[in-house]
Amino acid sequence: MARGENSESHGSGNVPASSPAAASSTAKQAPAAARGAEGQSVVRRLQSELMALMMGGDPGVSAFPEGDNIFQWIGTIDGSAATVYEGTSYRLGLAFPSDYPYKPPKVRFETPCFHPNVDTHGNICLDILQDKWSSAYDVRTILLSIQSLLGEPNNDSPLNTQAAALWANQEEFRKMVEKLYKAA
Amino acid sequence: MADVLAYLPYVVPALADKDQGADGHLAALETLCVALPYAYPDLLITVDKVDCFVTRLPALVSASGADQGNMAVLAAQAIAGVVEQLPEWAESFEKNGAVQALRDRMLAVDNMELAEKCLLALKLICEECPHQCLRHGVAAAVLQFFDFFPTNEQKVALKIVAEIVEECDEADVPKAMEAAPALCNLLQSSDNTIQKSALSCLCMIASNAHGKAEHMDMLCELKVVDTAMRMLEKDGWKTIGDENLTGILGLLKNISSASAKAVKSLFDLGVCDLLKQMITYYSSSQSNSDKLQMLVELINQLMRPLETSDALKNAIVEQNPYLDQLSSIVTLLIQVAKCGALSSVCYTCIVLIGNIVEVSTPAFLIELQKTANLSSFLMCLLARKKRHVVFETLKVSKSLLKKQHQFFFESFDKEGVKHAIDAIQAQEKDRNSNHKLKMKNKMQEHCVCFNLDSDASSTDRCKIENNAILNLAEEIKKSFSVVKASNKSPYRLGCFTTFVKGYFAKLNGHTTTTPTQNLDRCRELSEVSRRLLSDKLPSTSTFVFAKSGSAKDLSDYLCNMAYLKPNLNNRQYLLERAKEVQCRLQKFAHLALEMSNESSVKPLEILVEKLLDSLHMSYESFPVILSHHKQSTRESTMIPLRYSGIEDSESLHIKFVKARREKELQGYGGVLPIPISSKPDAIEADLWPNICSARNRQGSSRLMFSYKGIQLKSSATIFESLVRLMNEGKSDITLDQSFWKEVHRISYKRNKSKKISTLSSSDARLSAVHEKLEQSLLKGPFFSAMFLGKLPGDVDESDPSYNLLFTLKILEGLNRFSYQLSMDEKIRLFAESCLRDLDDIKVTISPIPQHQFTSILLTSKLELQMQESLFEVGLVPSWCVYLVETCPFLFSFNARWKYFCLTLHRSFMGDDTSDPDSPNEEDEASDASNEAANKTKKYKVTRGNILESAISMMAKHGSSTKTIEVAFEGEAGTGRGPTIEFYSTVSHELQRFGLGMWRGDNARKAEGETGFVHSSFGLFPQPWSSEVTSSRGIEFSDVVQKFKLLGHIVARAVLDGRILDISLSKAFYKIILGQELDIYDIPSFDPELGKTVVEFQALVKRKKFLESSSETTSYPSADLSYKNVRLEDLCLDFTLPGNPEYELVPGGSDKMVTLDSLEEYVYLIVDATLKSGIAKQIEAFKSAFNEVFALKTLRMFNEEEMERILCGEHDAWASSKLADHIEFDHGYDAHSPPVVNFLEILREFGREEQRAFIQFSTGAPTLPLGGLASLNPKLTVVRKQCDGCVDGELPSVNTCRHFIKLPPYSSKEIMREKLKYALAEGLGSFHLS
Repeated sequence: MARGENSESHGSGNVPASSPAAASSTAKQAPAAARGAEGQSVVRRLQSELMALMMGGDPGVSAFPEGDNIFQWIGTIDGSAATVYEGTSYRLGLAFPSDYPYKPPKVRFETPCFHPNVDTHGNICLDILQDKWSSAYDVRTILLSIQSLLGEPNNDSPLNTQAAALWANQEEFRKMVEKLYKAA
Repeated sequence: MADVLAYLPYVVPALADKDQGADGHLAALETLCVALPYAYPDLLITVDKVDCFVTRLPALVSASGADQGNMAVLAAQAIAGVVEQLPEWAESFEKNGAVQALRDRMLAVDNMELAEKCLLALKLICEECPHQCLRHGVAAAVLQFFDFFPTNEQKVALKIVAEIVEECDEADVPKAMEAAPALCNLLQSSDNTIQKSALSCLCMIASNAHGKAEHMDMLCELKVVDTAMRMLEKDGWKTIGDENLTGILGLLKNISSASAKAVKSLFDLGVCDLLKQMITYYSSSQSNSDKLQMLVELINQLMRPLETSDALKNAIVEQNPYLDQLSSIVTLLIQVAKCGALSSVCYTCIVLIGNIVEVSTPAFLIELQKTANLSSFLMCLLARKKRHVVFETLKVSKSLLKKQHQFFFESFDKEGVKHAIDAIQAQEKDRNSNHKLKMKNKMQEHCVCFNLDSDASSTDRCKIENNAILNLAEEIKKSFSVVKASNKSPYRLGCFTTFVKGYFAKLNGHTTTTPTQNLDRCRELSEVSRRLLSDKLPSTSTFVFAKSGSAKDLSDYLCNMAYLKPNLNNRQYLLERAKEVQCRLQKFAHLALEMSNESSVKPLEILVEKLLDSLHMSYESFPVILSHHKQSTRESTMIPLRYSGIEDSESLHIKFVKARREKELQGYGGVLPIPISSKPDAIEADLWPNICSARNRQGSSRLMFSYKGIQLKSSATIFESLVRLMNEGKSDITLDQSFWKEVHRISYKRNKSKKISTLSSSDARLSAVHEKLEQSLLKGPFFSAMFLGKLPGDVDESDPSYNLLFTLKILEGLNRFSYQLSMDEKIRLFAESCLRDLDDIKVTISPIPQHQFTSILLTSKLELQMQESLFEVGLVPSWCVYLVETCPFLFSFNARWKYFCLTLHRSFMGDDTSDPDSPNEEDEASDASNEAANKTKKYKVTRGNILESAISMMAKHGSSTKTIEVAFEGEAGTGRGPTIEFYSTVSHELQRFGLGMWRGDNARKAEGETGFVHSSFGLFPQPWSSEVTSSRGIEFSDVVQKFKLLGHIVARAVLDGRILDISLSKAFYKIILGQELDIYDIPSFDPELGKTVVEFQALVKRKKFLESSSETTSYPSADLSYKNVRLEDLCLDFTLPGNPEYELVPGGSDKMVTLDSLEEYVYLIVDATLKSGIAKQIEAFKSAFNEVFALKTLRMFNEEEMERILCGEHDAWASSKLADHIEFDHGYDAHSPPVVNFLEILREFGREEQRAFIQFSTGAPTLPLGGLASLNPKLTVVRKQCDGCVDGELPSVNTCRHFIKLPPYSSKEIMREKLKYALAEGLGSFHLS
């Protein structure tokens, strides 16, 4: 449909001027057309979460907007002590939808991660990121949940069957984790 | 040609001359054979005066000798040629031994060509004189070497046999039986047509043998029974086709009627299981009364030898496996009788049961009562009015008592048979006292005695004497008194009633207390209800249940009748009542839907079953009316949406006469023909100007009509009122010709009483209250019925069925809204801090399946009524209209869909005012084969600009009464295929991103975008703020226009029977069906948003509760946090989530949501999402829809059913059924190697390929309702004619006839490859045809 295509390419004309974060991002990349329409509500919420994260100082997790786009964050998780992930540090990408916090952000590992519930593209299978999402969750709870998922995988519904099978053998598992981690 | 004929005269002398050598004869015959095809009868007669041909040719056939083979071939050919021209000579040929000669030649089988010629000649002779041929043993002879014949000759041979046995009379049966062994062998043939013909031959033999035991035994010995059963086994009866099935059943019936041996072997082969499957199938899913009748007749014949042959009787009655079968037959009969729409079926069943009872042992009967509950069934039948049924039922009761007095006395007592007999006795006495008065009425009852005995002619007197019923009833009564009533049996009516009353009293008291205050009472109450619903109810007999008035008690309780005052003006009072009723519904929903630990059945299921059983006792409230006695009924399984032509509608001849003492009106002369669909109001409008005098022209509802002193109801058609008054108290009415010819007298007088419709005014008051209510369920029609304490519409409240219907309706609503009711209760519990955590707000009960509310009896009655050919012109009894409107759940979806098609058709054609002018784009050059050309309109649309084309076409012609057909500009395809593709393409296009129509459209484009809005929960309109006229380049007016198009397309698709490729959400279908949505509907299309909003709502309620309950405003703030997060920390503002341009209040993007403004926020979000934000779109959809036909006619369906109607069946096909629904023609049959490959390839297809294949072959991505089976015309695979290299060709299609033209590829691999190529390339255009 000609109409549909039109609206997609010229959509950026309708960016609310009152949203500096969104406005600046539109200039940068083309797909920001849709993003340009994000409201202040989400921006405000994300800014307050950023503040809380910076003030809170949770050990082993941190996150920060990627560049000047407040809707795209980079998170970092350190593997907990006394798990096979001890000593590793993983980068994650968080993409927030326009109806955040009603809908969960899309989260994926950017550092390759050998884990039963993470697939080769970094996609994570975690209930609070899907059907168990609640608006009361925030970036901090997400990152903490993923951190604990590392140590306590759900082997019943694995994305990575090889990892699920190997979990019983912690030594071998540790080797695989390191192999993939070092390769990155 | 003339030359050839010129030789003819010389042929005769040459043949006649016996002395001429073989060579001479040969030459003459050759000439004759060449000439015959060109000859004509008159010429032949002039050439020969019968003698030569008829005497010489047979002789030449049988002439023996080494080189005579060729001669015989030619002679046989000549005979065939002559008989073909002059059939009247066949007899003379026969007299001269032609038949024997041909037969012997054939049996000799020296050469195939000879056999073929002989067959042909025999066939032609047989057509003329089958009897003689039979006597000469032709039937057996032609089958002798059947296997050696080529297919064509096999068919000829079977035709001969059919010809012969069809005419055979009793004396000839032994001769015909000679062919039976061969025919039996043929039953196992793999060729369908051979099988079918062999079967029909056997059927004819069996029916001509007229039940002679020796022949039937012989057939049985020939394994006919075994073979037939093998054909039926394993669902074979579903696949062998209607004609074959009828044949086999007829055959079995004939054989078993006379042969005890056959019956025994049928029992051995498990005929009962088979019958069970078939009866279940035809009674519930198919509603095919013809088939049922046939099956019951078969059972009847199975039982017949039981009575006559003692040996068999002993064998069967004394062995356990047979007894089991016998009891399953009784169960089946009870099932058939219970859902039998016609009394004749019930009658047959009860007679059969009577026969079985006669031969059974007491012990068996006791067992039977325990498994099948005979007594309850008898009680059900005794409540009917058909005297024949009652009489037979009494007879059965009597013989049951005779067999096992004490046991059946008790069970009769429990199940109410005793009570029913008392009632009958009283009624009969009453009847005798005004015997003379009712005499005439009684004589009209159509006698059904003779249905079973085909021998008895209908002129015989009816077997039931006037006093027979009374006498029988009294006799049974006398036998009752012999037994001392066992003191206080536990099933006493009073006992149950007291219990029920006590229960509701307890419930009543309970509603006023809150659960927090009184946990003990709560527990006690659920204990009592568990005892009632789970323990007592299943063992309560239908009779006790119905008589105790529990249904009324229940509905009274749920409607809160205790406080009912007819004070609808008091708004405050109404609001309180609404809350009260809702509270009661919640309580009861929990009690009725919670699974008790011991059983897997929910109490509601038992309750509904009892209610339906009780409802079926008022059999006569829903009479079926048929216009002619034995007329061809409409095919019951498939109903086309529209018919090409309607026969002249029948009309009644009415003479309207002025009532006595009516002074103000004038008389009306002459007879007025009125259509059967007219109601009194319509007649009044016609009549009024003619009869009123000048001074009383005004006033509403001015006339009252009556027939024989009884006033006609205004809700029913005059026709129906008349018929029902004339046939009072009958359960099914069949009209004969005299009814239509007769002139009926109806008197009229002025209507003095000014009746105001109370219902509409109370509705208006109710709607005022509605605005105050939050939950949508309180606004639905379901709830207003409960408010008013009555069903909507004009109903006879005194009818015994009324309370049951009302209660069923309430329970159905309760079941449907159980989620809402339960959520609401959970939120209340959370608000009152009985539930601590938001995560505890979960619904733990689930509704029972909708089909549990379906009444098999009413469904089959409706089906029967719809088979009446006058149904669509208005022969619709008012109970059909009424029940479909108020209680659609009573009917199966199929029945309602049929009803919808038939009635919609009528109302649609009724609106036919004027045809729109022939539009310019109409395609005049249509294919001439389209016989329904005047019923369709053709339009051209452009594929590249399809939405614009569709909008303009639909705006102009959407409301056309004709079926719309579409062709694409610049493409050759026309007719059904492109039209179907048009609908699916348009519906597809309406889902594109960037149209602004659907939720999820403005979501950020994720990776791997397809360009279409997709939601796994179905599409729901995206809210548009009333402040905004355009957003991101989308004009709101365009959006509205698209919804208008959608409305048009959806309506046209329903009307024209098309299928759309669009998955709308259940909530959107609810809106289409006129239901209000509320907060609990949001999770159904947007689970994340819905969940949060519901949780916010719970917080709001808790805050309100805390504020109202405690004087101090200080309460622990932790109670009001959102999952331990301060609400303010969520940083929400007053804009619609995901749509920041939509400000919920002016300046909303700067207004933050706080705990105090949360209530407003939730209200605004729900309102914007479900109402104000989509109001204009919905309005556009609805108004466009209504231009085509009235949207409200769809309300008999629910949202799931709407999806089935619009989008077709989801599963493409069951691979096992594939071959059954595809036909093969034009060079292919089911066994051609390319076809076998083709079917294998189809079976191996995945879902995507299936979809593509369906799109390729039918033009639509999904199959119509019913799947492949209901594709019309059937999918047909034909051989594609290819010149040159076959494997280079592609398969092609003809979508309007559903032809797949398949080249006979050399291998399966090549076929698969070509097919896939065609599927990929062929989509999207019709060039490949």
